[in-house]
Amino acid sequence: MNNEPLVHVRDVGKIYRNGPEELHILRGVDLDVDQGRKIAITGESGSGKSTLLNLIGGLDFPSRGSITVAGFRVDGTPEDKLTYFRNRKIGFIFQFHYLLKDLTACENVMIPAYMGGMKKKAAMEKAEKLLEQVNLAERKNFFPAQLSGGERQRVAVARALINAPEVILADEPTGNLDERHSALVADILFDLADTFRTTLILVTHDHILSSRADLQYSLRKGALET
Amino acid sequence: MMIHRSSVFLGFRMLFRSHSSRKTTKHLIGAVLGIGFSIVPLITVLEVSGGMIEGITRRFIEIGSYHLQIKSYSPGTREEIESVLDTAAGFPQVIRSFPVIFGEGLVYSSSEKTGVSVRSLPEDYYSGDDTLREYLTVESGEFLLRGPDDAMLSREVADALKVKTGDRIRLLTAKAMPGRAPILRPTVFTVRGIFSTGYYELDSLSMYIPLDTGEVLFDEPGTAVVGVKVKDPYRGIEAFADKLAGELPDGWFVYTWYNLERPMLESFNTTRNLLIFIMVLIVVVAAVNISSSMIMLVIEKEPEIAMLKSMGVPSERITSAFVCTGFFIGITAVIFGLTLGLMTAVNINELIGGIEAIFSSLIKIYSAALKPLGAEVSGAVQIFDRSYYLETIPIRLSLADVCGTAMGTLLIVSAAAYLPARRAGSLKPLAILRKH
Repeated sequence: MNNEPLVHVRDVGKIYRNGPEELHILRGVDLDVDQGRKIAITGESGSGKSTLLNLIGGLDFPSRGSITVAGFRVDGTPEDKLTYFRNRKIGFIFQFHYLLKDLTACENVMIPAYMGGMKKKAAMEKAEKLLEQVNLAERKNFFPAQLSGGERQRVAVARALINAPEVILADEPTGNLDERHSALVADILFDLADTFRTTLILVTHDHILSSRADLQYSLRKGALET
Repeated sequence: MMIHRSSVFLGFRMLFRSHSSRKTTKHLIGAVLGIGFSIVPLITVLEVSGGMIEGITRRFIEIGSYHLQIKSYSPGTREEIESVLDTAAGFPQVIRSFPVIFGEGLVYSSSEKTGVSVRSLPEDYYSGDDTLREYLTVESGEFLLRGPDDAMLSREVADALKVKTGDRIRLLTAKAMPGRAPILRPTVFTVRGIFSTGYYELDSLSMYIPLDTGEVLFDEPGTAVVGVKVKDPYRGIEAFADKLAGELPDGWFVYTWYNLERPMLESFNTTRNLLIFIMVLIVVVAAVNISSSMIMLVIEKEPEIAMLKSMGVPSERITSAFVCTGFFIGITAVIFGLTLGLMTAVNINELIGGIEAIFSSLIKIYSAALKPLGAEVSGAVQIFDRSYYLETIPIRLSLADVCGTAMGTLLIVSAAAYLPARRAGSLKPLAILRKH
């Protein structure tokens, strides 16, 4: 049995340069997350939570250190390989849903899989099943403009799961929702992560949401604390 | 660039199920209309100029130069001409051959005179040629070259002489005498009919007389010609001319209609190409509008593009989705533009007539309004001088022109969409997500 953690972050630092000025966002962050675990990272605004999530997801490059996700070395990898990595291994959920306005809920869910190479029919069937799991089956043909904020975010959750990713990276997934819808989206997110045994890395300000995770971390002054 | 079906799907949805902002939608509709309207003059020029060139060329080769001319530069005897006619008739491609004698003269009526280009023709010249009758209309009298004094005049010559069918005219010809002054010879003719070809160049100086009379009046070297008509004057005419020339007696030469009318044809084609070039430039300028609309669409869809990229959608599929959107804009514009353009081309005569009528009426109204002030404005508006163009513009709908315009426009539009599309594909998701 492989005992390697699914997400392996070692001594990661991130520096933003603005002329001669250097802004150290992350300073030697170490993080190991096993498969199927759900962790929450909290911290003040600007503490580097989203930056860490983006680094793990291959949207950004660390200034130092190494990141390995599901056996894939993320740091220093060319963009075309990162694209493949994100399509197959990662599911992103952002604070804003960023659904395509011109596509229905079902099409929005299936589009990353379809554009990633899956057959349209298979992608649509999978999207329909996921919409059932987020309780939006009857709204599959609705356009984003016809859905409520909570419903749109549930579509975004379903979309993140379309490629059966090994890791879901959720950046303030309920940050834009009221309490009732936050709870609903959180329930769905945690349930689906359990169902698919998907690793969940959650960045949030919401202590109720973070408390549902297996492990909570806090980012302070660029360093990760348990 | 390989286009994946998913890119076609997304490109189609972004245009035809667009939930874009009103501003972007307006721009996209504007781009479609811009390209559509820019195709209208292009397709109209293509169809109308093609029709006009074909109409003029056809008239010239049926009435003016014939399909082939067989000429001798020594005075051809009747026997020689008969022999040439027999040789030509022996070829299966030849549908008709006939002798013609060319000459010039000055023609007089009781009150007017004008120079004419005279053709001496056999009696059955008109009755024996179905194609000729399509292009040469007898407006008054009948086409009659039976008696020695029969003459046919073009409408232009008849008008210049102020004569009508049945009137008598005199033709003054000159016979060159070696070492002496030319002998002038007046011959009296009766106008048997007045004809029109519908094209000024062919009508302006034309007079036809019987062949026997022409033999007497014009027996100079090079005036005797055998006109030949073949089944297809547009295909293989040069090769056939060479073959025919090989069978002719010494001193006889074959000229194709293309040899004889090349300057005119090339002048028409050059003018047409220049017009097409200008019209294509208009389409290119309209395509810039596509580019700017696509840029707006890309800017509006930046967060969605960033989301797709963060979900691992390859850049080239996003680029091709936007190229497809541009392509669909092109298809919509082409359908709109071609429909409008073909309608304009088909109805060009009515359209011109309508515009002329409207402006002429406006002038009348203006004139009536100014009358009490003592000023007078008169005259009818005529966009084309019928004397110099075909009386009605012939329309030739060419599938090749239509397809070429459609393909060319789609190519231009897709090229215009490519740069914004490439920008969409190369967007950095993180930068966009931070911005939004």
